[in-house]
Amino acid sequence: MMHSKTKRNEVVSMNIIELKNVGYAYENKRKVLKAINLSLEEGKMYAILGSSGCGKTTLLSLMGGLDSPSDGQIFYEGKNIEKAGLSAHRKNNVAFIFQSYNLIDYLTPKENVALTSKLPPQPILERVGLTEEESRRNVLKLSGGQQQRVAIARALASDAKVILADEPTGNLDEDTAAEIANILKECAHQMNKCVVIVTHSNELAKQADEVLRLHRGEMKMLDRLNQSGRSGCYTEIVLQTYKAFNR
Amino acid sequence: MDLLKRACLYLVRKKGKTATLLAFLLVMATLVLTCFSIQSATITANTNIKKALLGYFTINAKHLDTGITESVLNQILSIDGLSGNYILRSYSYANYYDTDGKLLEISTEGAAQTPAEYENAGKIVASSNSENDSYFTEGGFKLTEGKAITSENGNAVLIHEKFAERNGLTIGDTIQLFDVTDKNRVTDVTVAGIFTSTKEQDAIGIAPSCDLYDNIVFTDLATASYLLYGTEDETNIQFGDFHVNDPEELDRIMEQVQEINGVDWNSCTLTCYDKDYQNAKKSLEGLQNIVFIAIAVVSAICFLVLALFMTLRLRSRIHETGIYLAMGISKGAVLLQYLLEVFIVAAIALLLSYGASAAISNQIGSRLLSQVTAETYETVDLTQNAETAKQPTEDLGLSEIIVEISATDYAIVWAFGLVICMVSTALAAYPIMKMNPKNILSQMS
Ligand SMILES: Nc1ncnc2c1ncn2[C@@H]1O[C@H](COP(=O)(O)OP(=O)(O)OP(=O)(O)O)[C@@H](O)[C@H]1O
Ligand SMILES: [Mg+2]
Repeated sequence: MMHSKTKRNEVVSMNIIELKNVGYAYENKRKVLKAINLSLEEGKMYAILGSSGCGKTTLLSLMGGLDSPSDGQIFYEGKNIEKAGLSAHRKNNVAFIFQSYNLIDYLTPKENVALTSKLPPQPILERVGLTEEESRRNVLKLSGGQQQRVAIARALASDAKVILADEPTGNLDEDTAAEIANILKECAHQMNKCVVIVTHSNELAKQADEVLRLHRGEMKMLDRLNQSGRSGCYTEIVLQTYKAFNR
Repeated sequence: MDLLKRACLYLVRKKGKTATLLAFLLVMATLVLTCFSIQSATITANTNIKKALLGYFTINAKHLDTGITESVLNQILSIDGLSGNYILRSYSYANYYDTDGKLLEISTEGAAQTPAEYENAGKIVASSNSENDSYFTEGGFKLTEGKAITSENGNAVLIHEKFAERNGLTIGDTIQLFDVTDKNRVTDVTVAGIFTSTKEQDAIGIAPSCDLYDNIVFTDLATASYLLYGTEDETNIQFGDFHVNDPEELDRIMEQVQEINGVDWNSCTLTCYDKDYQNAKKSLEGLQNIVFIAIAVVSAICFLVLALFMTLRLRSRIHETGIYLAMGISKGAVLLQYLLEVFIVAAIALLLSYGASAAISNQIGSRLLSQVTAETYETVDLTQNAETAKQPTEDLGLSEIIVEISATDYAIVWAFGLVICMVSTALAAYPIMKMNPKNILSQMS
């Protein structure tokens, strides 16, 4: 599945993350995830939909190397992430945007962004809509939405190729949410990153190149959401994910 | 952002938590340091006591035909551990004559019955230096004219002022001493001084005339040796008090003395005098034990409390730990940051504790030591030793001991304190570091 650099420019597809028969169960409980097969490409934005408690956050944390799957393997650029070490995987390959922000509370937004990046933090923070003054405040003195934007900026600033976002727009108003969605899309299309978004929002899912649905621990691939946005108007294709990529 | 910067930012931004930790470590460091400095003060006190509460042994060679000969004495004096401070004494009885061969008159007032041979005799007291003789130091004898007798001014005597008056003797006069038991031993001596006695006669009414204070003649050891043993060029002695540097070594030294050949040690009496020291030592050891136990207890408590404190501190930072791990910062680096924070605060606490402890330990230390001094006073007093009982504080030099923090103590407390901080932090962090980041993050909220 490895592609050369020149080829990457011609051919859009390049599998950066691949899950093979990934299953996961919390200590001696029923399986939250069952034999998930999934291939994610660079330069694309994915949306994962699913009812609450179906295992979306769990899946994201497995892809991000926060935990090891109970069954199956996860590959990054063709290499099993456990081989190189999960810590190295987290450090070099993925950046998280958490459902609950997860900012370091004794650091300013600038310092939070500087944790993962050597780039000057201010332009990135401005891009997600924080003023210079807000960037110097203690993060706890920001609103929920502002904190979420700091978390997004922190992920954008890192040079990881994969961005894993868990409900990144959950606390934002429609306009800001749309703006953030645009930024994430830009990130995928212009910076050639692989952006995976877990969301309940159809609006955000519409922006995605691919929409995946997690149901009863299994992954279903959906077409792009109907451009009109009317719910229920998209066709479900029940196919194994690897088949879906053969187009 | 490197971990040193993160550690510093944490300390600066979380001022309350930093202040709590600092106060906590400061109290602990001060406590331990105070215990340490009091402990070293007791060691100094012990050294002072060894010097002040003289340990010595006596040899009584009265029953040896030749006494302690000069060569044996030299062998004794060369034994390791003697302080060089010693007193030698000999006693004899002699009849006193003037140069014309006329018997000098002695006092018989208040005397008990005297054996026939001793009817005209007086007691000869010889010591290495008459000034140090117990008659002069404790017995109320006082030199009124002339100078004391030492080994250097040979063939000289001190006579009682009443004896001088009775026989019309003055300084510079020559008299003759005839040994009572062997009339052939006779020697000419010069009157070098005249003394008086202020104390009442000891054993009044039962002392024979020859033992009356009025009839005592002080002379040098060589003269006494001639009268006792007939020695010409040598000085043999009857009694010796030998002071040692360290009372703990008395037994060893006395054994070595008895290993000297050519002396019938069974006929001699060797007596050890270290009761004062042993008593003082006992109360000092009591204090040392207390301080030692205090150090052990304080350290153990500090360790436990610190471990608990660190556990609580790190528990409140589980979330933060999870975030760092999720960002790919290694567990080692996160732990190192936490250790570094504690290290910085501990270093500040240790610096501050120096001043705090210096103030406290001097207060507590001198109080404890003066308590020991008081105890020593009581025990010394029980031994009826007037000399040391008079002013024990001065003699023992305990009150002057400054309870100071020595460089070694300070270094030990630093090393010890930092190790305790590091170990307790590492222990507190262990359960968190064992978890995987997903579990840590799902534990938050
Ligand atoms: N630490 C845990 N221990 C045991 N069970 C867990 C744990 N975390 C999550 N679960 C369970 O695993 C399932 C999947 O949880 P997960 O957080 O992945 O859901 P989700 O899809 O992200 O839900 P939501 O949309 O509400 O965020 C749920 O049933 C949840 O109760
Ligand atoms: Mg979730």
